Amino acid sequence: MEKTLKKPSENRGMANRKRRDMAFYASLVALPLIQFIIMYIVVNFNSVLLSFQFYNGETSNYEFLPLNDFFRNFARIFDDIGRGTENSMYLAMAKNSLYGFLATLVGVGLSMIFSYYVFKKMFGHNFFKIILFVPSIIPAMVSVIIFNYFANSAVKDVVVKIFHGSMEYGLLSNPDTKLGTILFYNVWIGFGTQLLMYVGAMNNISDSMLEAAQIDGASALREFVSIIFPCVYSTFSVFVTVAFAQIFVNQLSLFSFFGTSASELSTIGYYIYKQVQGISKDGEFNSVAALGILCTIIILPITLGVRYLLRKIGPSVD
Amino acid sequence: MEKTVKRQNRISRFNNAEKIILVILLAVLAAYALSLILMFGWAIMSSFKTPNFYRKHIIEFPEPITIENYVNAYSNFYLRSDDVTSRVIGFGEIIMNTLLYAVGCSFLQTLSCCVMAYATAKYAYKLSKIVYTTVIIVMILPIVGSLPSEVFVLKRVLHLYDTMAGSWFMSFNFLGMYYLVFYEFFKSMPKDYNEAAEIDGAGRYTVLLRIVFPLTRNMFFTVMLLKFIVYWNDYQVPLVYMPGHPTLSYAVFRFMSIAKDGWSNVTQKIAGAMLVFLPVFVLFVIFHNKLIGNVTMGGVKE
Repeated sequence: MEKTLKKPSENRGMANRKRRDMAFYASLVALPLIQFIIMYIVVNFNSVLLSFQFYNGETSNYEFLPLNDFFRNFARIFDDIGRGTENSMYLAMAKNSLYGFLATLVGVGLSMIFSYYVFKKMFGHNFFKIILFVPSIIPAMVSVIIFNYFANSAVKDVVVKIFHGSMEYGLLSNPDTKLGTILFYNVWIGFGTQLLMYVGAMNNISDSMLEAAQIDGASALREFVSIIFPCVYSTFSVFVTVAFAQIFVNQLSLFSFFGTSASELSTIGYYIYKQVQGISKDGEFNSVAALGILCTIIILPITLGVRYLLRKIGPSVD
Repeated sequence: MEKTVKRQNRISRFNNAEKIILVILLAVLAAYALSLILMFGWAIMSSFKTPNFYRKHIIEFPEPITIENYVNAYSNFYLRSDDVTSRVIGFGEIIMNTLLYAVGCSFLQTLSCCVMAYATAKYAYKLSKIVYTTVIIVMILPIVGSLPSEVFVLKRVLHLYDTMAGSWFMSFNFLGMYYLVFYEFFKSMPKDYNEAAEIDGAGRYTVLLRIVFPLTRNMFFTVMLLKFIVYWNDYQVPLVYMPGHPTLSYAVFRFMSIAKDGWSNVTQKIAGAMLVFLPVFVLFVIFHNKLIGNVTMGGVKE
C-alpha cells in the first residue's frame, strides 16, 4: 500500500531527473553539434552544389548551370583526362598522388618496425624514440627551409668537396631527383604520431602472453608475426585505410617547398589547395569543387573496400 | 643485476638471421638520427655565418661567427598586408596573432573533444551512439576538396572569413582521434565519483567542473599541448582563411616565397627559421615525457 502511495512522487522524481539529465546533455553537445552541422554537413552539401554552379560576375552570385550544360564543371575534367596520360594534367597529378600514397605506405611499414625496436627496449631505444618524434614538432616551414638548402646546397658541396665527385644540380633542382627527394622528405618527417600509436598499442599487450611465448622458445621474428602484429593490426589497418582515404588529399609538402610553382610535381591535394588559396575574392570555386567531388566518388568505394578487406583478411588476436 | 639478466635473455632469443636484421635495423635508425642531427647541426652552423662566407663555404665552420643573422631576422620580421593599404604588420602583431590562434584553437578543439566525449560516454542516448559512429566513419571517409566550400561558407554564410573568431569556430571540432581518446577515458572512469558527489547534493555541472575536469586535467593538458604545437606550426589554414592575420609560420612561408617581404638571404632565412622553432623546442624539452608517453587510444598512461 505504502509502495503504491509513493509511486506517483517517485515517478515524478524520475521524470524530473531524466529531464534534467536531458537538459544537461543537450547543453554539452549543442555547440559542438552545431559546429559539426555547419562545418561538415553544410560544407560538404554545399560542395556538391558548387560543382553544379558557376560564378556570375555581373550579379556576384553563384548560380546553377543551365540544364543543357549542367555537368560543365565535370566535363572540363573529363575533356582533360581524355587527352591521355601524356597530355592530361589531372592524370599526371593523380600519378604523383599515387607515388605519395606509396611513400605513405612505406612510412606505415617502417614505423611499425621502428616501434617494435623501441617496444623491445633495444639498444638506444629512448634516444631513437625522441629522435623519431622530433620532426613532428618542427614547423613545416622550418624543416622545409632547412631541408631545401641542405638538399640543394650542402649535399652538393659534400659530394664535390669531400667525395671529389661532380654534381651539377642540387637534389631539389635536378628534375631526375626532385620527385624522389620530395617523397623521401615526406617519409623522413612522418614517423612521430605513428610511432606513438604503435608503441602505445604494443604496450597494451599483456606481459604474460609475451612471457609464455618466451618460455615456449619463440624467436623474435615468431613473436612479432604471431603476437605483436595481430595485436597492433587494428592500428595498422587504421593507418592503411587512412592512407587510402588521403590519396587525393596528400599535398606532399609541395606548397611549403615550391609555393604555387610545383608544376610537374603537383598532386591533386596540392592543386586543390593552390587553386583555393589563389582565389582572393569570390572566384571560380566551382571547377575545384567538381574535382573534389569526382575524387571522392573514386576513392570512397576503394577506401571502404580496403577497410572491408583488411578486416576480412586480418590475423586473429585469439 | 636483474636488468643485466633481462637484457641477456632478450638478446639470446634472437637467432643469427634475426641478429643480422637487428644490426641492419640499428644501422637504419642510426642513419636516420645522423641525418637529422647533421642537418640541424649544419643549419645552426649556417645561421652563424656571414652571407658572403656562406656563399663560398657552405659546409665549413663559420668564420667569423656572427649573430647578425638573428638580429636581422628579428628586426626584419614584418610583412606588408596584401590589401590596398599595404600596411606593415610588425613582429608584435604577428606574435599576438600566433598566440591567439594557437592557444585559442588548441583550447577550443580539446574542449570540444572532451565535452562531447564526456556527454556521449556517460549518457547512453541514441544520439551518443550516432555521434560515436559518425566520428569513426568520418575518420575513414575520404572527402576531397571541401576547401572551396569551407571558404564559401565562412565568407557568405557565417561572415567570419579573415577573422580570428572564424578560425576558432572552425577549430571547435570534436571529430578525430582525440575524441576517441577522451571517450575511452570517460568510459573507463568509475561511476562512484559522480554518484558520491550527487548523493552529497552536487549538481551535474558541479560534478563536471569539480570532479571530472580535474581528473581529466592531465590528459586535457597533453592533448592541448599536442594541438598547440600543430596550430603553432600551421601556416596553410591562416593563409587561406585569415590572410589578414598572419602567424609566425605563415610569415616564414611568405619570407620564403615572396621576395618583397622580410628576410633577404639564406643565412637570415635559416636563422629566422631557428627563431620560430625555438619556442616549440623549449616546450618539447620541458614536456617531452608528457608528449611522447601520455596518450594512447585506450586513454592516458600515468
